[in-house]
Amino acid sequence: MKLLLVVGLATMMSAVGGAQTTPTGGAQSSAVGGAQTSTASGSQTSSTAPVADPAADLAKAQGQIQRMKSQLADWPNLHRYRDEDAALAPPAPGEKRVVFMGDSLTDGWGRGNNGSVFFPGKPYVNRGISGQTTPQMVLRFQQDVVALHPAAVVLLAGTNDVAGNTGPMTPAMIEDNIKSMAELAQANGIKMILCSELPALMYPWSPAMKPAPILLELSAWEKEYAAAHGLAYVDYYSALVGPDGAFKPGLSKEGVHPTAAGYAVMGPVVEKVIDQVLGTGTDGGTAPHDMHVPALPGTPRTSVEAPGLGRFHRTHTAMGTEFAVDLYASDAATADRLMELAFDEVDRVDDLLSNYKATSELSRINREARTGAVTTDPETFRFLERAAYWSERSGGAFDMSVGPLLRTWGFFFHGGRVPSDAELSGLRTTVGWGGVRLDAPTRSVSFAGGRAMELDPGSIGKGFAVDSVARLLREQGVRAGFISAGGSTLYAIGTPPGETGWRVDVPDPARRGAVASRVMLKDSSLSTGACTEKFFIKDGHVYCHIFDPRTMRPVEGVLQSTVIDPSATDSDALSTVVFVLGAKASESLMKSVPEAEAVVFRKAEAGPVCLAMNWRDDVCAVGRGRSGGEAIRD
Amino acid sequence: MIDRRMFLQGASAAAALSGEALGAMTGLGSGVAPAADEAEAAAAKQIAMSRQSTPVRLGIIGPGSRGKELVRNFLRVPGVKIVAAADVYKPRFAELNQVCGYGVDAVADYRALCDRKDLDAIVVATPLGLHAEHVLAALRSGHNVYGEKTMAYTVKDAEEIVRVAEDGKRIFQVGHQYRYSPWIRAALARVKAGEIGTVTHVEAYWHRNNDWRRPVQDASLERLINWRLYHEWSLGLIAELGSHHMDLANWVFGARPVSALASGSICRYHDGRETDDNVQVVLGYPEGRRFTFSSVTDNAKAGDQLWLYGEKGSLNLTLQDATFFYEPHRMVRVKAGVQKGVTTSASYNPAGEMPYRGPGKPVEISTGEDPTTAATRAFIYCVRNEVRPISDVHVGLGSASAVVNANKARYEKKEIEIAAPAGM
Repeated sequence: MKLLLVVGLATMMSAVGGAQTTPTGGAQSSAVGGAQTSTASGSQTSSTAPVADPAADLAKAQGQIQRMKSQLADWPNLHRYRDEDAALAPPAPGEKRVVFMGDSLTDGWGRGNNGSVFFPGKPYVNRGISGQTTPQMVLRFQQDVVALHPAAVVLLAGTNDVAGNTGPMTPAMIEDNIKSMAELAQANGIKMILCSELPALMYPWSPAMKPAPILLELSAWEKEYAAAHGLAYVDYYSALVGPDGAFKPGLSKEGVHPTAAGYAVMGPVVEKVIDQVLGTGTDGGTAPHDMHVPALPGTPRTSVEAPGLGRFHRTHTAMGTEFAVDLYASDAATADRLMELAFDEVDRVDDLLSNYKATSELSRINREARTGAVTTDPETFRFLERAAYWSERSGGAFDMSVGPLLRTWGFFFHGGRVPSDAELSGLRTTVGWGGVRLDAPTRSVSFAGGRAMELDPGSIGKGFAVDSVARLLREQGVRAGFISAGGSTLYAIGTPPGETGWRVDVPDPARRGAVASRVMLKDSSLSTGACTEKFFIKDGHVYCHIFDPRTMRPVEGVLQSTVIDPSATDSDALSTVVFVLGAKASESLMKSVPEAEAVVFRKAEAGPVCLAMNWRDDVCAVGRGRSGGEAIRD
Repeated sequence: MIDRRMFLQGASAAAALSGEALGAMTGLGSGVAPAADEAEAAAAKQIAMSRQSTPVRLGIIGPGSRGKELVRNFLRVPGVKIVAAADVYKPRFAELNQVCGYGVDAVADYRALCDRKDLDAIVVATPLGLHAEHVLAALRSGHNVYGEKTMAYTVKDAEEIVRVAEDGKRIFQVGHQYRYSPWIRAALARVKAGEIGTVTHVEAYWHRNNDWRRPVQDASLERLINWRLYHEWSLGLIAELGSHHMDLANWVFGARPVSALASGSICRYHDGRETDDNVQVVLGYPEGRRFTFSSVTDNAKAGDQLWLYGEKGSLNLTLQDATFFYEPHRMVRVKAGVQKGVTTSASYNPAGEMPYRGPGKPVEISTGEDPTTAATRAFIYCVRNEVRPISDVHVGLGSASAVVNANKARYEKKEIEIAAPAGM
C-alpha cells in the first residue's frame, strides 16, 4: 500500500511538472502499472521496462530516496514557496489579492508545458503543489495563504486524497481538512471560495480505482457545506464534464489534468465567482461587499440584485419583546415561509431558555440542579457555557445566576421595590456564578452545595436566539436579512442589494434625537443596553433594571452601552459587561477582545461621558459638535 | 430480555392507564380504585426525574425536524447517546451532528440501521405513510422502538405493530407525549375524581395561521420535504394535528370511538396540495358521548386547546396549562326546618345566555415541563427497567383507529361505524 501511494504521488507530480516522463523501470512503477503481473516468469528486477545500465538505475533509486527523505523532513512542503512567500510584498491599498491553493490541478495552471495562462494582470497568486493532499495543505495554509493577506482564497483540493497519495482517506477526513481551511480563512477575514472536484474516471497511476462517484459525492458535499456556511462555491465539474462522466474531448490531457483548453474553460468560471465575492467585476454597479454566497441548489438566481427581489418585514412577540425580521426574497410566499421558520426558531429558543415558562429547559434545570447534576442537551449546554464564560471574563459584572436578585428587586413581571440590606445579604448564598457547576463530559449542571439558585437568561438569551435565527436563515439561502430583538440586539446578514450594509443609528443618550454613530452593519451584530426602557422610580430615584451583581444593586450613572461583535450572543453579553464594569475595567477587557467594538455613555458624575473602545469611528466626537462617522462593519 | 415478572407489572399498569380500565374516568366511580392509584404511581415513576445514567444507545430513522427535536430531548437524559441515523435526505445527517455535537453514523437505508447489534432502541420519526414499514422492521430486528404518532397509516398496519410488539415482547412507545404532561395528568386525575361531573363532550381545536409548507430549495424535493401535503404519505391535519386530541379523548372517555363523521376542504391555499387546509371531525363514543375537532390554517385565534365539558364544570387544556371552570350551582335538596327569612335586594342576574368571560381556576403544579422531555425520559426509563410505557401500542392503536376512520369518513362523505380494532 505504501509503495503504491509513493508512486501515485510521483506520478501526479511528474504528470504536471513535465520535468519527468512517466516513470519507467523499477519495481514501484511496474507494480502500479500492472505490468509486473504479466511477467511472472521474470525476477523482481527484470521487468517489462528496458534494461538500463545499473548506474542509471542507482541514480534513479537515489533520486526517489531523496524525494522520500525530503518529504519526511518537510511533509507539507513548506520549502516550495517559503522564499517566494517572503518576497511577496503585502497587498497594495485597494489591491484584492486572491491565492489559489491546491494540488497539481492548480500548480499546472500557467506553468509547465501545457500552454495555459494564469490570469494575466490580475493580483492572483498560484500556491498549488502537485501531488498534495488536504492534510498537507492544512499545514501550509498559514504560510502560503494567511500570511499573504489575500482578500480571498480559491481552494481546489481533494482528488489526491481520493487517490490515496498520502495514505487511505475517508470522505469525512477530507471534509474535516477542508472545513479546517475554511475556518482558518474565516478567522483571518479571508473569503473562502470552495471549488468542486474535476472529472476523473480513473487515475492512470492507479487504474483499479474508480474515483468518479467519490469525486461527485465530495463535490456535492463541498457545495452543501459552502451554502450552509456562507462560502462561495465554484462548479468546475459541470463546466468540464462530458456525457460519459469524463472530461469533454480536448479539455484534458489524460483524463485527470486539464489542457490549456481546459484551463481556458475554468478561468471565466472561477473569475465570475471571485468578482461576485470581492465586487471586482467590470459589470459595474455591484457594491463592494455584495454577494458572497452563491446560488443554492435549484435556485436560478445568482445575485441578490437580480430583478424581482423584494424586501419583506414581519414582527413577532416573544421573549418579552418584539422580534422583527427584514429580508430580501423573490416573492411574498417564499418570504413568508422563511419568516415562519425564523419565528418558529425564536419560539423554540424561548421554549429552551425562558424563565417565565415552567416548561422551558432552563426552568427544569433551575428546579433540578439544586438536588444534583442535571443532564441537558448540547445546545442548552453551549448556551450555559457561554454565559459562564462571560460571567468569568467579566469578574461577575455579568452573572448568569442573578435570578433571585431580580426577583428580590421585584423586576420579575415588571415591578419594582427596594429591598432591605438584610434581604440583599441573604442572597449571597443563592447569587453568584461560581456556584454553578458545569460538567462538559456529561453535559450536566449542578448548583454547588444544593443551593436554591436560579439561572437567568437575561443579557444573553436574546442574542443567542438572534444567532440561531441568523444561522437558520443563512442555511435557507438568505443573503440579505436583518433580525432585531426588540431593537436591543440586532444582526445583519449580508447587505441590502446595492448597499454597503444595514444602517443602524446609535443614539446619543444625552441629546434627544442626536445620532452618535451611524453603523453600516454587515454579517455582524450590535447590542445596546440602556435604562430607558426598564426601570422604576421610588422616592424620586430612578432604579435601572441592569444590576451590578457584585453590589446587588442597580447600576448608577450609566446611560447606554453599545457593542458590535460578529456574535449576537457575545454582543448581548458584552453590552451588559461594559455597562456594569467601570471605565478602567471595561477598557482592559475590551483590549482582549479586539474583534468587538464598544461605546459607553455615562452621566458626568459617573465617569467619562463617552468612552469608545475599539470603535472604528470617532463616536465620542459628536458631543463636541462634529457629526457622527459612518463605518462599515463586517 | 423482559422477564415475566417485569412484563406483568408493566402490563397491569398499562391496562389501567391506556385502555379499558379508564371507564372510571367518566365520573361513574366516586372513589378512585386502589388499582388506579397503583397505576398512577407506576406512571409517575416513569415520568419522574432520574439520574440513572447507564449507557443507552439509540438509532434514529428520519432525523428531520421532529426527529431532531426528539434527539434534543433524548440527550437531556443522562447516559443517552445517538449512535446511528438513517435518512434518504442527506443534509439531515449534518444537521443531526450539529444537534448532537458529535458525529453520528449515517446510513441511507434504514435496514442497515435495523441490522445493527449495538442499539438499545430505535426512534422512528419518518412520514406517516412509512411508519409501519420502519417500526415493524425495527421491532422484528429485536429492537425497542419510540415511534412518532400517528402510529400507522392504516388500522391493519397498526394492528400488525401491536401484534409484533406484543409477540416479541419489545417495548414500544408512541409519540403521544401529552400523556406525560404533568398538568394534564394532574387535571385529568381531578376530572376522574368527579370535579366537573361526567364528561360527555370533548371539544378540540388546533388553529394555525400559516400555509403549513416548508421552504424547498429544489423543486424535486417538494414531496419529500412537504410530504404532509400529499396523500401518498400523509393523512393531513386529521393525523398530524388531530391525533393528539383524539388520543386525549380516548383517555378521557376511557374508550375508543364507535363512529366517525368528518369534512374538509381547501379554502385558502390553492397551491397544488392534496390534503385539506381545514377539517372538521365528529367522533362518537359509547353512551352517546361526543368528541369534536376543528383545524383551520388561516386564523390562529383559537390556537391549540381542548375543552372537557361535564354537568358540573369545564376543563381547558393547552400546551402549557390546565384551567377549571365551574357551572352555576344547580338545585340541591335542603333540610326543611325553622324559617330564617330572607333580606330583599334589587339584584338580578344579567348574564343570561352570555358566555362566561371571567377567569378560571388554574391547575397548580410545581413541575410543569415540556411533555416531550418527559415522554422521552420515560421511554428511556422503560428501556432501562423493562417496563411497559404509558403511551404503549394500545394507546397508539386507539388514536390511529380514530384518525384513519375520521379520514375515511371525510372521503366517503358519510358517518361510518368503527369496528373495534383487533388487538384491543
